[in-house]
Amino acid sequence: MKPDLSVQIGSIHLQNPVLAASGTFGYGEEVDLFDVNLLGGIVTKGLSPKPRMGNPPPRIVETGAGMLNTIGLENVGVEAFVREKLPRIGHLKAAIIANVFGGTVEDYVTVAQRLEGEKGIAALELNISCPNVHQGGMEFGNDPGLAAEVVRAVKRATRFPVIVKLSPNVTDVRLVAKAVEDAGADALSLINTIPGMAVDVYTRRPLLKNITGGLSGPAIKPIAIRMVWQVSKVVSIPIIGIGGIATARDALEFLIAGASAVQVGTANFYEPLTMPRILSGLEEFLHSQEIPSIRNLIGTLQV
Amino acid sequence: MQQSSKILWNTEASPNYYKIAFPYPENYPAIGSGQFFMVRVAEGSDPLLRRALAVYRVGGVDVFPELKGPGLSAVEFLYRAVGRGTGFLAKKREGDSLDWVGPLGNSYTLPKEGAHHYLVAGGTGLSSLYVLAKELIKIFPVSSVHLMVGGRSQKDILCLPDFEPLGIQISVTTEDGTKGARGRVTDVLESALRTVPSDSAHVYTAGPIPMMAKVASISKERKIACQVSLEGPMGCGFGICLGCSVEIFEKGERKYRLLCKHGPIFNSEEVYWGEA
Ligand SMILES: Cc1cc2nc3c(=O)[nH]c(=O)nc-3n(C[C@H](O)[C@H](O)[C@H](O)COP(=O)(O)OP(=O)(O)OC[C@H]3O[C@@H](n4cnc5c(N)ncnc54)[C@H](O)[C@@H]3O)c2cc1C
Ligand SMILES: Cc1cc2nc3c(=O)[nH]c(=O)nc-3n(C[C@H](O)[C@H](O)[C@H](O)COP(=O)(O)O)c2cc1C
Ligand code: FES
Repeated sequence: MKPDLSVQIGSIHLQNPVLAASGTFGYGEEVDLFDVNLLGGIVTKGLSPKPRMGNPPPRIVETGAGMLNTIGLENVGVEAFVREKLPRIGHLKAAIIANVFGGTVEDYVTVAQRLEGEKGIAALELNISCPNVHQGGMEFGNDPGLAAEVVRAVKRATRFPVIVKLSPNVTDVRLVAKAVEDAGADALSLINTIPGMAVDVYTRRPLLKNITGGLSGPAIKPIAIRMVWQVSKVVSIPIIGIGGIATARDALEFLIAGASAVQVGTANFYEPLTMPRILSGLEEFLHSQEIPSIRNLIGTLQV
Repeated sequence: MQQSSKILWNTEASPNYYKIAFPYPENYPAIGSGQFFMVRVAEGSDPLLRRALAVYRVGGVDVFPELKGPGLSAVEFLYRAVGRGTGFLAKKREGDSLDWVGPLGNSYTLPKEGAHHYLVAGGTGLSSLYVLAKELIKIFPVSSVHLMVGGRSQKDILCLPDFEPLGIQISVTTEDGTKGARGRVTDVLESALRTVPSDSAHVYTAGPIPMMAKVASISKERKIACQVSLEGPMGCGFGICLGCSVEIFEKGERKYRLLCKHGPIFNSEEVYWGEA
């Protein structure tokens, strides 16, 4: 018998627990190397009220088992997304999750309002790893109060389920997780990239134009799993695990540690078939271990 | 498409420069001049990202006498071992597998007319010009195609015997005079362009940024159309990471364009050359 890979993220039903992470799969229409309908979901590039050009190059640099990026949240803006991108992906079996970011609470609300009621969207994911322009650039995700304020405001503006994407750039991720759960978040996703830096020793310049960037890829996986596990102990809403996932075994680690689904990011760049391979790997694992459903594994860490 | 293929050869063409090839059957996607592939240099996660390589030669036994048997065809790349990734690549042997994604990116635009085509190459930039030279001699007289190759010294002048059978004109310059004329390839281009009417000439260039910037400015002065092949860091090679943006001027407006998708070939007038 074919094992059951379907999972539930609050009210969202996913045909399987493997999603493409925001900013690592375009708007879901760029990749033609496999059938994207196989996926559990696709999280779009982050959307803002207006289009954004992004940061000057160089924007990426490879590091040990990882990479740094300063794309600068380049995106087409919510209006062009709804008019040009959504019609091309809204019919997919993979759930479309619109990733939203802003520099102010109003930005988040503006994007949520524009997306409200649009067909083909399954949920919103709020990227709160963004500097708040009214608070001296302090990240929303760094402050439980600010994070909760964004969530409450967006919840009032939308009927879509709201997933809050947590920043690892905090002393205790559990405090923000708890605060956004209390503010009405339907699910959590974690982690976003970790701030990092690399230097050219000959020119003595930073290797990124923006000096610092976000670290992603296999290098961050142990940190991400630790945070998923910590958060799963203190919240009762579902968690989507993100960070360095490249194989079925990586995905299984996250699920066992407490995630109900996973997102794959950087691996899509260097191994475009990562997600379909994870899916077949999960099936094989369940089959060989005689486990009927992937749901039997979620949060089963033995300590 | 993505595929893992057995390496046919990976041989040193000149100190530190290598030619690597794998089978490329006729029914695989057609490859245009200037296009590139992303190759995995090692398994596992370090180095993590694929490396971009421009297609050098593609074809059957007519191009590669090494191919044993009719109906076989291959694609070949010319690269310089400059760092960790290309260093790993250089260690691969015949029969090892190489995982690739390609062909990627846009191609040189072939002009409708033109009596003089100048292909200006420095270093491994030469690789993106072979397919172009073949495409050009299909539609224009072979004597109208002129390859100009420059380098610091003799060891930087690569693979000329591959181009000689095409019958095109070839000029070689080295800065130290150890091969061809002494001087810079851009000086050779400049004097050649002086002898021809602007509207009959086309320039195509690939190589180090300072060389291409100079080629672009010489062409611009003479109002001659010039296409350049740019390089830069790439995360994916197929348009999903937005990590490869380059600054472009479109109708005077500054924009970012993806090197991997809108490029790697750009009209030289659109390119922001920075301080080069
Ligand atoms: C479209 C395109 C076509 C190319 N074609 C060729 C070719 O035909 N022959 C050839 O020898 N080289 C070519 N290059 C350059 C080649 O990709 C780099 O030399 C190679 O990535 C360097 O990797 P490394 O690990 O050896 O060097 P390192 O310096 O150790 O690389 C570290 C990181 O920087 C990036 N990087 C460093 N230099 C470059 C560069 N010049 N361009 C892009 N990324 C760079 C690498 O990809 C890697 O992520 C091409 C690049 C592009 C973008
Ligand atoms: C190039 C790049 C762009 C990204 N853009 C976004 C984005 O727009 N919004 C967002 O919430 N996260 C973004 N991320 C973060 C990823 O979605 C993910 O959380 C992070 O990369 C960790 O997962 P990974 O190690 O599998 O890549 C981006 C990551 C990368 C590498
Ligand atoms: S290299 Fe990823 S978008 Fe161009």
